[in-house]
Amino acid sequence: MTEPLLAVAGLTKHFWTHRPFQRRSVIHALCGASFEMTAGQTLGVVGESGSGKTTLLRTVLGLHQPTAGTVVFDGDQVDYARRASKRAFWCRVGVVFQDPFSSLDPRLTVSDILREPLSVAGLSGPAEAALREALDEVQLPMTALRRFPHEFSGGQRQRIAIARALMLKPELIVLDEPVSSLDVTIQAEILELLNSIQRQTRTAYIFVSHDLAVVSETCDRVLVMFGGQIVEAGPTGQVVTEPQHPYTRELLAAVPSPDPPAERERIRWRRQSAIGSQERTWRLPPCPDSRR
Amino acid sequence: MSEPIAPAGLKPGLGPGPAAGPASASAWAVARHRFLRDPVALISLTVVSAMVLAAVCGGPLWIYSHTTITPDLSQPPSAVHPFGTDTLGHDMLALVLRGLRQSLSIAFMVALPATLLGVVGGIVAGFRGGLVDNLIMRLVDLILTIPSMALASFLGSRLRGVGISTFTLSMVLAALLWTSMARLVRGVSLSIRQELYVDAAILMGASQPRIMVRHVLPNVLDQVIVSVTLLVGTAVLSESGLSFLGFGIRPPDTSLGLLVSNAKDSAMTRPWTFYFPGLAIIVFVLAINFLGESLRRALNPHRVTNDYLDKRRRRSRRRSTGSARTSRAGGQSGRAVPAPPGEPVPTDDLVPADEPLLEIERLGVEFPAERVQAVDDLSLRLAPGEVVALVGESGSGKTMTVLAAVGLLPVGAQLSGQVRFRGRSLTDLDYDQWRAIRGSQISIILQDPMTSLNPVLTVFRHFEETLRALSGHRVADAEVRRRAVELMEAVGITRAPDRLYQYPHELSGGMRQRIVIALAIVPRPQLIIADEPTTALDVTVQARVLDSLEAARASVGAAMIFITHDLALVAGLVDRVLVMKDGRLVEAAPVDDLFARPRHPYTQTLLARVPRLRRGPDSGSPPVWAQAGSEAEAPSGGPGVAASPPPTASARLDQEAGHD
Repeated sequence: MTEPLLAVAGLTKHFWTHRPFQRRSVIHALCGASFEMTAGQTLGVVGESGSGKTTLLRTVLGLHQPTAGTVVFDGDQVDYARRASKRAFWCRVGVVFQDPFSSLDPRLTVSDILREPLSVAGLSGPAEAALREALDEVQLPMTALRRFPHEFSGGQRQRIAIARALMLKPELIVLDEPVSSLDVTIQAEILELLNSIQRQTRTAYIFVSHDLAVVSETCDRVLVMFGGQIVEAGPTGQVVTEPQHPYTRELLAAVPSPDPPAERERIRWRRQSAIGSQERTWRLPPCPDSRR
Repeated sequence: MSEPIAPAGLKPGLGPGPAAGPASASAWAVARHRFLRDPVALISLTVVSAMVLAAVCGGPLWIYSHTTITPDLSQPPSAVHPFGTDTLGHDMLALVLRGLRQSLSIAFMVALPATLLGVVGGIVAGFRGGLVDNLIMRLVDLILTIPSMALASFLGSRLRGVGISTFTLSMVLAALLWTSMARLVRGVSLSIRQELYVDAAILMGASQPRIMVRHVLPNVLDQVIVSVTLLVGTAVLSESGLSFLGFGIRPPDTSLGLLVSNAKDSAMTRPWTFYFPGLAIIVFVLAINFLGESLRRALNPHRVTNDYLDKRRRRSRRRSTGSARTSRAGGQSGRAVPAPPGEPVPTDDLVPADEPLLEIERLGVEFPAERVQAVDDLSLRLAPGEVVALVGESGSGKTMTVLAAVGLLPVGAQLSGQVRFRGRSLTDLDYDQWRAIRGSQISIILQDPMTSLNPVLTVFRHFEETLRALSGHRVADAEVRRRAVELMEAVGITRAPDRLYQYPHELSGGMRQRIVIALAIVPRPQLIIADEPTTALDVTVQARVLDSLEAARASVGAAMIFITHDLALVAGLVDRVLVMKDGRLVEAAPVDDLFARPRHPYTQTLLARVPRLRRGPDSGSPPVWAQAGSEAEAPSGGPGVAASPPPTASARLDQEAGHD
């Protein structure tokens, strides 16, 4: 067994509400998430909005201070209380967000956007070669450098965001719903691009999505999240063919297929079955309250 | 089909884009371009610059100095003294120039530190949040409780012996006026803090000062520039007010406020001594306020008042119907022109010509200002009760097609061709005729339910309004309640009576969209237009909303046009599929034929790009739902439940499961 690139154990994030004159209540956004991933692998995280998948990412990255749990990256435990430790971790991890309209500063040119990781990391000096390489990797022309984000379409902006994530040659790229806001055709192009980058660079991906079909096309392993908990984990093929948890089944039953007779059958079946109704008949175990 | 990445095609046919500006331009360059085309902006800028120039250079250049005493006492305006003279023989123009100079220099000395303090305080408060934010904002609150005139007059009277210096006065005003700037900047910074590019910078390891300078500051700057102009205007007025009351600039020096004050008793006998300095104040403050307003318009062009837009809209609609007729004539004469080679224009002739519900013939939508042809020569027919999908990627013109069909084209669009609904031409209806049709016979469901619902109205009020608009009179509450619950249950909303009195923001996205669907079927329309109704939703929620939509549509027997970019979504939902690309119809076929034998290469690409469940090596296994399907027939509830014992109960998740 090779050393895992990223090992997350018992990661928990609780939020407390602050309202004047009201009792503070706790929101269990993430309950004891544990998983491991090896270098060069793609790990899918799937679940609906509010299932805690974005909280998981943001907590692993240190944008939220974890309530409990540990994250070990490449053998070193990340100490979220120490800025130096976080910075060392961040230098080796790239991030691509869902919304390519909000993730690029509208006042900066593409050149400035791509240079920023270098200058923050203190790598000054001529960056032309690095910029050219990054743009080549995401298949954008060099002329893009002088332009501003608003001159690009959604898919092209997402390419710029990916190029920015690649600037420091990270070992892991965290992709938070990278294709959810894009058209199907553009989605496929971005997924292809991510695949080819991974083949060349052996970068590991954490790929978050609400769409099990997209995850099944891109990921080696998949975590299914619901209500802040990981309800199912395993190799993608196994999860898709032999789902264990009712929520996974629900996700699978929601995926439309481009085959009209099968689709009509699926819709007819959904109407009769419990999956089509709103009320879920199963419950999650309560989150162990780790307030100390 | 690959995304055009050549620089020439960087923005492929995105409909109406920003006004034509320089090809590669920053937001600043676009704003400058807009500013220079605004007559109000140019006039106000000219007036402000002229007055500043006069204040700076006018004094030394004018033949009289403000201290010169001429032998002409109390002269009215003449060729020698354009503004007349005062009782002591001072030339009024020299005095006004001197006063303007003093007033403007005070305004500058107030605006500069107030802006600096306000921007720094606002950014730090908004970006850091927490304790720092609390401290700064409570200080701002405290300062805002101080009556500024009272404080300044108190200081003025305490310093009466020595006379308050220009510098002290400026600093006092600055200390009072920075608060409005701080509040504004804090608000903008708070929202910038939420932008993902700030998170991205944090995750690069950028320090907080760096993020504030590099990302927050440039993005608040446009708002700051606008409010600086207002601040200068306020500073001029405050100084004038204080000097008028005798607490500001003191003789022998002078300012505009002091000049007005000195002349206030002789306003009737020697009006020139009173009105010229007063006019200088008014003109300067007006001009700088207009300048600020123009800057705001140039930097944030979207904030145009609704009223203005409405009038323009109605006018443009009439114009576009007029041009529709002319270009239709042109279209007929040019009918002999063959379709572009290699691209046969499919005519949608699958519906029998007798009694189509909706008939669109050679529809064209053009944006002449942007030189964009959004829809080009499109024809389609829709039979009553038929469900059709209009598929294409963003920019393919699918939304423009249906907007044209329901008369909701944006400002500046030009329509050509013919749209008929139940045999009646829709292209030359006026606003009221449109309203009657849209309200009762055609319903529209948009992508974002939050924009379709009014955030300050409860679900109940939405139903009440819809029912009232339909029947033309007030509907009794009990009746509204009965109908609303019935409709909400029809679209699969559980606990409908409880949700009646909730506001849109209290509902989940899927629930909101279902309310919109329920509202759409209230008039029992004959045509429902659904424009990407599930694009903003999760896959699981999307599936449920689609179930609701189909159930609702079937319950009233309406025809439907379903717009989407995802072919898989409509496979089980529609009778026919129309595929659009670049404003043209490229393929139209019954759904089974289209999926089994896509003819156009673009349709083939679309189909190939649809994400599918990959099942690894044994891809021959039947779909999961089919495995569980046999259990669905079993009396013991759904398959999910039957297959695995439910985990232990949690009260907390009760609620969540209720939402979708």
